[in-house]
Amino acid sequence: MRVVVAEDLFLLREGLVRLLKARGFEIAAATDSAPGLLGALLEFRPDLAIVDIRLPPTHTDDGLRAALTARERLPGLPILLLSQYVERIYAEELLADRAGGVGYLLKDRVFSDDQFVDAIRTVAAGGTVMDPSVVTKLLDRRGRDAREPLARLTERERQVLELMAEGRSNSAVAHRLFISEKAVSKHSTSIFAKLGLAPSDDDNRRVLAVLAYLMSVPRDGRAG
Amino acid sequence: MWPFPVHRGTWLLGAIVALTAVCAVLAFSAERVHHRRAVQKRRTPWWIGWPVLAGLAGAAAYGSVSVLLVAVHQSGASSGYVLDVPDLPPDGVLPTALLLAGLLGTVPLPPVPAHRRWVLPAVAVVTADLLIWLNWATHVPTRPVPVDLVQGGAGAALLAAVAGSVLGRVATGGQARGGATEVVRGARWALLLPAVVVMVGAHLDLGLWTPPLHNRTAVVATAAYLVGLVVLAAIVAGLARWPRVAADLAALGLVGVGAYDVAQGGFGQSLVLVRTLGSPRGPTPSFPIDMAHHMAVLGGIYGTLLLAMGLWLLPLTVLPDARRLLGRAPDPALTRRVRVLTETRAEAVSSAAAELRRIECDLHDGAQGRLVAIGMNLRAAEELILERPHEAATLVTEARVASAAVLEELRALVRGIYPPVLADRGLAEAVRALALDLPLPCDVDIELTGRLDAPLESACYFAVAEVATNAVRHASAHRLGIRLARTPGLLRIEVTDDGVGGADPAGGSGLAGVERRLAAFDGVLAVSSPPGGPTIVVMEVPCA
Ligand SMILES: Nc1ncnc2c1ncn2[C@@H]1O[C@H](COP(=O)(O)OP(=O)(O)OP(=O)(O)O)[C@@H](O)[C@H]1O
Ligand SMILES: [Mg+2]
Repeated sequence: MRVVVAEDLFLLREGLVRLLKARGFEIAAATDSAPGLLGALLEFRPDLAIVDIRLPPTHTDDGLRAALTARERLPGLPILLLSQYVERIYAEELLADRAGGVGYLLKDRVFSDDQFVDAIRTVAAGGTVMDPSVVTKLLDRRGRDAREPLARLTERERQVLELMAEGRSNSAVAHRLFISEKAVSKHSTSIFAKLGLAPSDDDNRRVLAVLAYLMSVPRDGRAG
Repeated sequence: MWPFPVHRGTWLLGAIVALTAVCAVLAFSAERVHHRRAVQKRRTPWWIGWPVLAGLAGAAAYGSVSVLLVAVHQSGASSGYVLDVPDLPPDGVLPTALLLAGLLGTVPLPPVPAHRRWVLPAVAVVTADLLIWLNWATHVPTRPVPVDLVQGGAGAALLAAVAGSVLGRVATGGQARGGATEVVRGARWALLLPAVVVMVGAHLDLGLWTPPLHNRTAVVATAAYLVGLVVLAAIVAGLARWPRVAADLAALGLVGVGAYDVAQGGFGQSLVLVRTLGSPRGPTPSFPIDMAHHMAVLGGIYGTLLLAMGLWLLPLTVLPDARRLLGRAPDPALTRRVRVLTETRAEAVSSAAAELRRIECDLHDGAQGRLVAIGMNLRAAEELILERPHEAATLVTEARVASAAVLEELRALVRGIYPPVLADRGLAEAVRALALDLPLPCDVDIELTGRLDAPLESACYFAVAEVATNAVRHASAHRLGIRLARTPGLLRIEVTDDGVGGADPAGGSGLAGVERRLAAFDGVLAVSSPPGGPTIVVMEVPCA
């Protein structure tokens, strides 16, 4: 699998490259700036781009912008954003085309290589990966109001929802919670029913539906 | 009903007074609406304006009683009067108008600083007395000339100018800001009243202004009248540009008019006759002696009040200005500005220092400590790695977990110093992101393009964050609204919630801190939060 890496911190870039090579990925290009990233993406058309949001020249959100531009020109180009911060507003921009093949993780998730590599594979395969901290924040915000449908989920269903929103497949969820895959799909049917979402067998469409639900504005503080 | 027969002119005068009152009421409500809309921070002490009000009340009492006296005395007399009712009314009508102007100037404008507030009724008083004086000046026996026309025309022009400028402001939405506007607004209304009197009087041909009898002095009298109007116009025009100079003139005018009236009261009857008839050389009227006494005493009281008012105003106006002109005192506006800047600078410096201390504490207690622990873990792992690799692996795992925690802490810290979205995208996006993270539905309406100065962006962001946090924490609100709009020169931020109300900057450190922080940018914060809600917090900051 061919990967383009864009990261301006030398140590981190080298670390990423080493880790990816060790896991059998092919590095098409490793760049340290947004223009370099855009050029590399358009030139090499890799299977995945790993992008730091904050890149030169302006050291603001250049990386994100370059990646989104490239994705406009190469629809479906899988992009995994890495950042010191996860901002919901950036997650929304990334998810905006609802096409999947995107991921957004904190940089320190790289520490646990297995999960990181899982995430890479999910994104490259057109799936969606969301950092647990975003999901927790979304759930906190929506779950605080007792009249929200979210409040009607059982503890177990909440855990399943959380893992699902992070972009994990049924089998990964089952593995994490030490339950059977059948139990997971039972929980997910029940979750979708409680939240009023149309059920779906497709993993990625399910993730997107859950994320869209969590990010939507609650109708009104008064309403159920 | 009226206990005595009343001259026809008195009724018409009553109508004029009523018209004036209508004007006053209209002006009053216009001012009230304006006042309610204005976000006024500072309040003037309650006693400001009372001397003015007392003076005007006295003037009005004098005017009303003198009108009444004319009626009374006239009802008793049958013939032989040279003095006709229309000769006296300016004394009665104008002071009544003054009272209304004074009420107008003092009651609905409490937040206007004292030196601006009193200038309105003061100008009205001087205007009126000037008009009275000019009227009597035209009584010098001479051939009739159409003075009425001149007066009526001038009054109409004045009124049109006033109305024009008022309507002009309404049409332009009253964009102009600044110190002089209250004065101008108030003075406009105050001057409107005598102008209405003059104009209406002339157009109804009431003979308020008895035509001069002799040709010789007619030109002089008319010229004097026109000069008086020019002086008035100059004061009005000056109010906008040089409010303090105009105020000084008005104060001096008050002292002069008051002194004159006091003298008249003191000298009694003879002066009354002089003043009333314009000249002792005119035909001697069969003037009832008790009426002359009444007039003298009332005139004395009136003059005393005006004089007191003028003297009270002198130390507020003429004296400091004179001192300043002589180089003994600095410009008060400059002094105020220096004081404000000194205060806000001290606050900015100390709040920056406190912020640094907080960051230092957070780093010291958090990240630094954890990094030391990580280092120790790694050092121990280094020693164990060959002999007891399992234990070493546990230590390294611990170090990794700790480093993740350090990162988390640093993230939270940075967010509190300068949120990443604010740095990346600016105030508008950062506020949108903030609203997304609030646990309440939030209507966001932002009219702001481009970036502001970084310090201003940061201050505004944290201001919105604090106010919104308050709404979440204290208001039990169902819905929140955040509005940001940038007009040329001004950034306006409005945060509303439909909660329980009762927000009070004195009740905690949050709102007060926001106020201080915005003050460093000459910004202000206003809170409207009646019990039961809703709460509206408006912040305005000048911006290029
Ligand atoms: N939106 C609001 N609705 C109702 N009450 C409010 C609102 N905002 C503030 N208050 C009241 O005004 C007081 C002052 O608020 P302020 O932000 O100054 O202090 P605080 O929030 O109590 O403490 P701090 O912000 O320093 O942590 C609060 O204690 C609260 O009682
Ligand atoms: Mg607070």
